[in-house]
Amino acid sequence: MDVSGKQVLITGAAQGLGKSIAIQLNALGAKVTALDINESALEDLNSTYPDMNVISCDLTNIDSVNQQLNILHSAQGAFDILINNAGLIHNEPLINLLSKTEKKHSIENWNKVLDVNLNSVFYVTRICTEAMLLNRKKSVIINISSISSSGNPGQGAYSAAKAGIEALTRTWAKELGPMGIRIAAVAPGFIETDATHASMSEGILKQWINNIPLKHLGTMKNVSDAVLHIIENNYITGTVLEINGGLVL
Amino acid sequence: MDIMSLLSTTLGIPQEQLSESLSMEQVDIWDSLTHMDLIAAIENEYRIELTADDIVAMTDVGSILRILKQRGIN
Repeated sequence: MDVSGKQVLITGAAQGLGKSIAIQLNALGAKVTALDINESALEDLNSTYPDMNVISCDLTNIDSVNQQLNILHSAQGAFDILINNAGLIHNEPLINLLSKTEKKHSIENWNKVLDVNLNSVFYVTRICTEAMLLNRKKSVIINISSISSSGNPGQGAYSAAKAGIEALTRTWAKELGPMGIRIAAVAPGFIETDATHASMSEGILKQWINNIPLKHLGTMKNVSDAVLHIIENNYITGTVLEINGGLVL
Repeated sequence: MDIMSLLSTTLGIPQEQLSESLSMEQVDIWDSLTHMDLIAAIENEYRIELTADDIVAMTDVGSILRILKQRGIN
């Protein structure tokens, strides 16, 4: 699929990887709609890229998702490309024996991480896919997973959410393939983003970089190039494209 | 491939058991996912694209034959 002129919806598009993907696709002539909860970041994005459609939306709120997507679909029809990028990195072990208060993983944090990283994908995809099918659009859905999907110590909730995303990717690819809708995932490793630096100390990050066979962090363009590759290659579906410099957890 | 052969192959039902009144409710394997496979098989075989309304309406053999006849496929 050629992205030029295509309607693209990107969640979590105001910052980081989502923003990088939005900018690259916008530059290639796609009609990008950016969904994000961060209104000020959306305004910044829109001021630089006024041709992008920016919408504020809490993706963990099913009513908000339904309302915004119904408005979008009424205005412009089904999307050609959906990129489920919104996510939240969270570090918390199942049991923290050193904690002086609660030692067990917080239920609240578990639910929050699953809401942002997994449930939001389900909420958005169910609505977008219905519109794609009803309009018989040969669309592409790309889910942003993570190297953590294989199980990263200290990231149980995040790892579970990302593994869930990969399971959904394979399942939905089988369900929707006959109707011409492709679904794939991109699983980045350690990428040079604010979120990566915020999620760990610089010392820990240096240790990780030393474990990466290519010995450096990936760039956001490495990831957005992978997204573009999936869009453009009409025979890719049901697979997870790993962009991790050879790192295996 | 004629449409009855295609239905027989996709739904796993001998041709002699296919009738126009046969519907999804009467065939265990003919669920919503198999329906998508059936639609894809029809589209690929006859090189047509069915509308969402067609897909929703094609829930029995008679409806499938009628809709395909409207497309010039007998």
